Formats: sequence, C-alpha cells, structure tokens
Amino acid sequence: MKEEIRVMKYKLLVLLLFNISLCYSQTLAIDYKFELADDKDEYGFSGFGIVRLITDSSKSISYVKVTDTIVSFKNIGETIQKASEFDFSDPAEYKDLASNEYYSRTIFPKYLLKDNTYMVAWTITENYKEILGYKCQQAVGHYRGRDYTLYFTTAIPIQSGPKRFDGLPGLILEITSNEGAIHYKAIKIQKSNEVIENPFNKLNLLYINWDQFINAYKDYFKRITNYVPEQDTAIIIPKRGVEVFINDNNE
Amino acid sequence: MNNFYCFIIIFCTSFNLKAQTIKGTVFHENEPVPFASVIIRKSDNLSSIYQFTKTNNEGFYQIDLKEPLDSIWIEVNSLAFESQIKHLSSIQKNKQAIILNFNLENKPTELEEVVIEKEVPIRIKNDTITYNPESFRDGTERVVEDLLKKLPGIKVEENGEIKFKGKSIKKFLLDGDDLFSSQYTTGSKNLSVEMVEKVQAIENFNENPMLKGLVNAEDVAINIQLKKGKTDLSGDASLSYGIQDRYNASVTGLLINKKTKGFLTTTYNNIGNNYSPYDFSSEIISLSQTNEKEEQAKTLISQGGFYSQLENKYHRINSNFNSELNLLYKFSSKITAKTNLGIYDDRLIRTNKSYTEYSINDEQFVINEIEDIIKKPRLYNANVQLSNKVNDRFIWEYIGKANYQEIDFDSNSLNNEVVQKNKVKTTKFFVKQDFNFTNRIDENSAVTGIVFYSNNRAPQEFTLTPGLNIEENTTNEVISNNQYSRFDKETFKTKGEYYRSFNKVKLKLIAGYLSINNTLNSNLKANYTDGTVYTDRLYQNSMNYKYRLPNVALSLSYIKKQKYAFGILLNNQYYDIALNDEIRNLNREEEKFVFSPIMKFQYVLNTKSNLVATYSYNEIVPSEENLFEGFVLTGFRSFRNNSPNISFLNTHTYNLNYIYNDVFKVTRFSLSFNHTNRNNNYFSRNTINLDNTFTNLFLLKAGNRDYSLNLDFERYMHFIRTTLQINGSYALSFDKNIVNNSNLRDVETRLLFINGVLRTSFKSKFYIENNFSYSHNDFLLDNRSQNQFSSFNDTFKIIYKIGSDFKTNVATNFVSPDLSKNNTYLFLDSELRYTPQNKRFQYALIMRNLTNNKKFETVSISDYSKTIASHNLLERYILGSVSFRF
Repeated sequence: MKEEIRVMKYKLLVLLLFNISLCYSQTLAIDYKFELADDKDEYGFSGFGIVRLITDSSKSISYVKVTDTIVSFKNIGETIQKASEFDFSDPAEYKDLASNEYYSRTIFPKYLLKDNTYMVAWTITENYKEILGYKCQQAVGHYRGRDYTLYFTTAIPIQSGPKRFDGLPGLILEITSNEGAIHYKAIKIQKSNEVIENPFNKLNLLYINWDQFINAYKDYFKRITNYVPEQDTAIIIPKRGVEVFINDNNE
Repeated sequence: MNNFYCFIIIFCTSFNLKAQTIKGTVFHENEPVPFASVIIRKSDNLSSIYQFTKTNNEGFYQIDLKEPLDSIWIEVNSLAFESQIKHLSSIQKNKQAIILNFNLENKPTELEEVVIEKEVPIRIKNDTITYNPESFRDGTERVVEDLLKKLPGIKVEENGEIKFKGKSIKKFLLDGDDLFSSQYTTGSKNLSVEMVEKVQAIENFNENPMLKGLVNAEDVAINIQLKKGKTDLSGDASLSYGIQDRYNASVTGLLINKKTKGFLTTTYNNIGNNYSPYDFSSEIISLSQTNEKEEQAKTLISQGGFYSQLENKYHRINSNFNSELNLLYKFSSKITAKTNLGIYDDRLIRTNKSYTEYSINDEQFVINEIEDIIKKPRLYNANVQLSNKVNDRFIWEYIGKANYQEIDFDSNSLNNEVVQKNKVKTTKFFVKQDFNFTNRIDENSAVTGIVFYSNNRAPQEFTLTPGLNIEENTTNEVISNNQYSRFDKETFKTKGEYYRSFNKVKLKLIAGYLSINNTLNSNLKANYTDGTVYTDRLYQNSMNYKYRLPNVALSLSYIKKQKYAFGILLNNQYYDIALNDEIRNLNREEEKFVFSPIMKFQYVLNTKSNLVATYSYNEIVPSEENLFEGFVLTGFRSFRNNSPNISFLNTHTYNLNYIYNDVFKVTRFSLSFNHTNRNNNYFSRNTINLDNTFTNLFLLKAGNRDYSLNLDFERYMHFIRTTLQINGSYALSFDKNIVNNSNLRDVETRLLFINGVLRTSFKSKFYIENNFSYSHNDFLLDNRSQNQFSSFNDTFKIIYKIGSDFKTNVATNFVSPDLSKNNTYLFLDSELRYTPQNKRFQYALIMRNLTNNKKFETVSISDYSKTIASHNLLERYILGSVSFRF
C-alpha cells in the first residue's frame, strides 16, 4: 500500500510539473489613467499619467508614464511634471498574485521593497457601475491611511489591479480614495503577449519589507526636515504617497 | 480509489466544525486550472458576492463559509474558459467538507483582438487640440460646418468664417493638405460630416513651414482628419422637394488617393442656403471678399439692400446654383498643382419697405419708400496654383486667378408718391497673378520674395425710369436717367523679406514697393421727352488717383518663454500721390514720408493667463471712393460725392487684452479694451429732403474716437456635457456730422450687446441648445439722448431621439426687434429624420417657418432719424428629402 502511494505521488508530481509548464492563463494589458493630488497640507504630493498593468491570473507587472503637467496647488505649491514615455526596461512594480507579494523600487537606491502585508479584506457592497462596458461591483475598505471605494468586474476573473489593490474576485477597474486624492480609472483593455517575470530579482539588491521601509522613511524625513540649507529655506518631502507613510501626529 | 482519497488528504486543510467547508479542484479537459476565481453567492441574494477565493497553482480551492447556510451558488471564472455555476442545495451542517469539482469548457469563440478604449471627447497634445466628433454631435449635422459650430473653442461666423480661440483660421486642411486655399467655405459648407474622423485645431501654426523657428507662429488652423475608407471615391447626393416648388439638391464627391485630392460639389436650392464662398447680399462680407479687399475695385451704385436681423434661411429668397471643383495633384514629392473652378448663379428677390421720420434742426418730415427687387448675380471663377519644393531649402509658388461677375439688378421703387423703375447692370472682371518664393539659407536665416499683380474693373450702368431732373430751372420732363460709373484698380506689389533669428530675438527686414492706380469714370445723363439729353460736368467724373509707395520696415521680437514677449515693427513709407480730376482740371500732388510704429507687449501672468498690450500708429491714404467730386446717382433717390482732400488719416490704436485659458478644463475668458483715436477723418454732410438725399464726404481735422470693451467667455463642462458661451461688448463712439446745413454736430453712439449660448451634448434622448442676444442702442446729440431702442432674440432648439433610427428636432426663434413695442415674432422650425441601419440612405421631413411669418419689421435709428423698415420672408414650406451616400 505504502509503496503504491509513493508511486502515485511521483506520478502526480510529474503530472503537476507538466501542468505548470502549460500556460492556461491569458495575459491582458490594462491602461489606467491616474490623477493623484494630495493637497491636504504642504506634505502632500501629486502625479498625473497612465499606468499599464500587464497581468494574468498569477502575476502582474506594471509600467508608468507621466503626462506634461503644470498644476498649482494651494498647499503644496506649483508642481511641474514633464511627459515621459513608457520605459519597458524599467518596470514600476511586480506582483505575485499567488503569494500576494508586491515588489518595487524604493527611494533608497540600495533597497528594493518586497511587501507581503498589504492585503486588505475589502467589503463588497451592492452598488454597481458600468466602466468600459463592463458591469462592475463596488467594494470598500481602508488601506494604509485612506478609505477607498473600488470597482471590480467578475467578467474579467483576474484578481488583480493597479498598485497594491487586488484580492477581489475580478479585475479592479476603478480606485477612488474617499477624500479625493487618489484616482485610478481603466481606459483601455487589450490582449498582451508579454511574458511576465519578476524584474527585480536579477538586480542583486537587498529586499526590505513594508515595516522596515516605513522606519527608514521616518528617519529620512526627520533628517531632511532638520536640514536647513540657507536661512529661511526648508526642504519639504511628502509624508504620504498612495499609502500614508507618516501620519499627522508624525508617527 | 484509495489513492484518490489519499490525494485529497495530502492537500487537506483544517475545516470548521460549525460552518461548512467547500473545496475542490477546477479542471479543464483533465488539466487543473490555476488562479481561477471562485465566487460564493447566497440563494436569497444572487447579485451580491458573499465570499470568494481563487484556485491555487494546482487548481485547488477551499472556502470556509462564514455562517451555516442551507444552499449556495458557486461560480467559477477563468479568463480562458467558459464560466460555470453550480447550485448546492440542502447542505447539511456538520458534514465533512463538501467536495465540488468543476470541469470548465472552452469558450465558444476565441476572444478577438478586442481593444476597448474609452474615447475621450477632447485630447490635448502640445499645440493641437483633437476633438472626437462623436462626443459633440447631436445627429442633425450634415456638413462639417454644422459640426464645427458645436466644438468648444471654435466659432463659425454668419459668412462661414471659422475662428479658433478668437483668431481667424489661416488654413483649412484636409488630412494635412490645403485643398481649398482661402475659399475654405466650399469645404466646410459641403463636405459631409460622415467623412470626418477627427477635427484638429492647431495653434502656433506656421503658414509657411519653411520659416519654422524664424517667426513667432501665432496663427491657427483647422485640420480635418478623414475616415479611411475602402475606396478612394466617396460622396453623397441629396434631393429635397417641397410645397410651393421648393428645391434643395446637392451632389458632392470626394476623391482621395496618394497623388490626388479632389472635391466636387454641385448644389441647387431655393430655400435660402448659401454653400459657396461668395455672398451677394450686400451687407455680408463674404470670405472671398475679405481676402481680396485691398485689390477689389469699388462699386458706387447700390444693388439693393438685403440686410436683416434674422438668419439667412428665413429671409433670403433665392434660386441658387453653385458648382465648384477643387483639385490637388502631386506630380512628384516636390511639385504640387492645385486648381479651383467655380460657377455661381443666383436670383435674389426681396421687397423692402421703409417709413422714416426725420427730425433735423427743428424740421420734421416723413419719407416713405418701397422697393421690389430682383437681383441676378452670375459668377465664374478659376484659380490655378503651382508649387515646387526644389529642395529642402527652397520653394517657389505661382498663383493665378481670374474671376468674372455679372449682376443684373431690377427693381420697382416707390419714393413717397413717385413710382420708378431701376435697372443696374454691373460687370466685374478680376485678374491676379502672384509669384513667391522662400529660401531657407540656414538654420537661423531665410529670405522670401513676392511679386504680385492684379487688375480689377467694375463698370456699372444704371437706368432710372422716369428720371430725376438734374438741370436747374427747366420744366422739361425727364423720361429716364442713365448713370454710368466705372472704377478700375490696378495693383502692383513686390516685397523682399529677410528673416534672422538670434537665440531669443527674431529679426525681420522688409523692403517693398507698392503701386496702385485707380481710375473712376462716371457720367449722369437726363433724357428728356423731346429726345434731347442733358448732362453737366457737375455730374461727371474722370478721376485718376494713384500712388507709389516704396517702404522699408524693421521688425524685432523677443520672447522669454513663459514670462514675457515684446515685439516692435517700425515701418517707413514714402508716399508719392497724385490725384487728377480731368473734368474740373484739378491736379493735386503730395509726397510724404510716413513713419508708423506698431508695438506689442505680452506678459505671462501665470501658466493660464496673460496680458497683451498693443499700440500702433498709422497714417493712411484716403480711399478712392472718398476722392471723387462729381455727383453720382447711387439709387433712385440718392446722390453721392466728396470734397476731395488727399491728406493722410492719422490713427492711434490702443488695445489691452487679458486672456485666461485653462486648456485642461476647456475654459476660456478674454477681456479686451480698445481705443482708436483719429486726429482727422472723413465726416458726412447729408442733405435730406422729401425727394432726394445728397451725401457728401469731407475731411476735417477734428477728432473722432471710439472706445470699446469686449468680453468673451467659454467653458465646456464635461460632467454635464454642456458648453456655455457668453460674449458681450460695450462700445462708445464719438463722431461728428452735418445734416441739412446744420453746424458741425457732436454725435455719440452707445451700443451694448450681450449674447449667450448654452449647449448640452448629453448622450441621452434629449439635446438642448439655447442662444439669446440682447442689444441696446443709444444715440446722443450734443450730449442729449436723441434716440434709443433695445432688441432681444432667443433661439431654443431641442432634439429628441425617438428610436435608434428616428430623430426629431424642434427649433423656436423668438425675436423682439423693438422692446418698446409689442411687435414680436415667433419662428417655428421642425425636422424629422430617419436613418435606417445601413446608414447609406437618410430620409427627412423638413418644416420651416411653421408660424408663417410673412414679413419682418424692424426699427433702426440714427441721431436724426428713426426708421421702421420691413422686408418679406420665405413663407412656410415643408420639404421631403432623400440623401444617399456612396
């Protein structure tokens, strides 16, 4: 009996290996238009452009391009952004959907981010909306400092989305933070032939997790805030990105 | 069997004793499907997702239900396969985990390369704004002009002139090619809107692309991107016929291929439409006239007043045939030839009535006029253009044009109690030759040259029966008058320009020579019943007015990007003028050096707004129509002459303009203040009595000035798909005149005008547009108000989409020409359109002027008179129309 089981295990293993090499998943490329404008106080930030998410059911990779923008905000002043094109040799982020791991660069040149604590238990509501011809259902939740309203569609059963938004039974097509600072919206969906793989592993840099990143950022913020290059001059760096790094009580 | 259960045990995870666990494997043709979505829905709420998970790399899933349930629905989705839903009913509690496997099937059809892209209505890239026509159309647009009127930022004037951001467009391109040259209304009024893929409005446009970088490109242009069809030739034909014998027929053809671009249009209509670049209703200056204003010979004899406050479609009673061919052929990548040929034939009918009360110098009297007019213009036009781009640095171009017009004017007039017949025959012949070249010497400099010659003559013959007596102290009866008047104008121009750019400074040096020769020959005869003819040199002209003008100009401009810009043009002209009057044997000559500067300063306040200030000073020579001394009979009761004086007219012009432009929010606001101050000017001396009006223009060293404030606002609100446009102006003008031997009177005119348009392009069943205008005129004499009146009109249009094929629209136009009177007009138009699915045919039922307004009465005032005038309108008609696209 035991021997039979062992043999069976090996047969299954071979079968499994065979399965993995076959590619069932179809790959899609989704373009999202993003408008980020956090002007709550002078430690906010802004960004305008397009993020291209190339994903299949098990992994995603994204590229970002920004648009020519000159915006004048009340609190964060004037921000100028010069247009750039997609740089397919420099992806912005990679996600392993099977293990819910998010990889990206950080502002610290020697460190890469490997974040596996970003998962949010989104609450699916009964509200619906149509985006790009798909019927989307609403989900709400709180993610690292902001409350969000998301719209996903089960018609595209890929449990992914831009940035660290995923974990819903369908592709996320729109993300809006309730106070209005974060907005991502899908504008184009097409098939893709790209083979997705983790671009950061080969960089031979150290990985840090989210908690380590936050601690390092807080140190950096304290250093910069105390640095006064000239009299009456101060350098201001943001306290928040999509995620809140440092909250209002400076924690 | 045993092994199978072992397999399950290996991958087993813990299960909840209270609520059920559902697990299984998702297969496709015996292969596991990884990362498929598994969604649980409760039976009492099928639309809501209760719980969800996904299969792992081995195709296995497991869900622990949050609460014990009796029945659930489980849905499995995977992008590559068909979704599957299974129903689990009567689930027993405390059972072992429920195993539910799925075997997915192939999707019935392969996903085609589906690109779902949300088409944005407006895309802005650098200097080009691209409009997506589908977002702005309401479905009633037939030609490109109808669509352009709906695009925010673009305005189409009554004569067809297209303006973008307040500036007139320099070019109307089709897929980048300039097929129509300056007569682009042929394209905008006839090209079907179904051919348009996108409309691009280009700013910072360089009319001469070879001068790129050397001039500050401030022009604007429109480029129509055409739909790429399967064939080179496309077009449409339409025929409409209605009660009272109304016709509207048109055939247009568009030919596009690598070497050729051609556009042919032939139209006939008698419902008041004008599809051509010409306009013979006197008051509207057509596009073709605007471009050749300087070279055209003047005509003194009136050919009917066709002015109306209403739109052409209500009052223009015509019978118009127009055919135009525009052809562009690229012989090679260097040589392009273009030709435009046109024939225009029309018959315009109108009855004008006017009742004028004069109060001049304590004298009051009334003049009553009625005129029944038939005006038949015929026009033949031919343009030829050849351009040769010899190499990347040198291009030359030749343009030749010939234009022949014949206008037959007939009218029966009533002047108080005198009944007369008027007959005017005008023939115009215009020839133009233009040769120009551009040589781009190097990156920083270029040279252009132009040689231009034009010749225009416009003889007119006017017969008035019975005639007016022009001889003093005679009792002879005048059977008829013959007034002959002919202006000839010959223009020769040559100019060389040198461009040089140094970093931020751009320099332009101009040297030119202009020679203009005007002649006027006119004489007025009175034919008596006994066969004799009387004429006098008082009523004759043999005038020659010519001037030669060499000039040298220097232009400098400096731009500090995003900050400010400064430009100055110093023009030095040397005038050599001669005016000869052979009848009165008077010769006047003048030589003068004139220095005219133009300065422009622009300051950028922020990325969205800037301030522009301009100042110019100019001395201009008088126009030839203000220099003839002999009387000319210009109508059945009007005479015209001048007290000639070849002094220069000095004008100072000031302008201050604030412009706010938010490109992302499509909001535009402009406020401008203008002031023109003339040190001397022509003033009119009018002598009006019951039978005749004599107008004499004379030059006076008295001032004449005007001020005006203009406001322009436009905003497109995408969330409610609404465009709002408001423009208003307030103008003050200080002038002088002499009426009936009065002293020189100070006349002040105040004019307030407000216009607002609201347009929604919501993709729902309704489309609404409302356009209102209000104007208030005030005439003051010696600071006391003499005459004033206000008028108001409002057009409301609503379009309703009945089904997918039917559209109906109703438009009402409410006009109150004089707000102090109860005399108001309501016009009602309606249309029903049917477009079957294949879109090749379209059927329409058009109803115009349903309230059957037969005549329109308006009021106009001056500082010494008040006129109640009326003219007839196109009566109510219903048209049935069929259009076919190929």
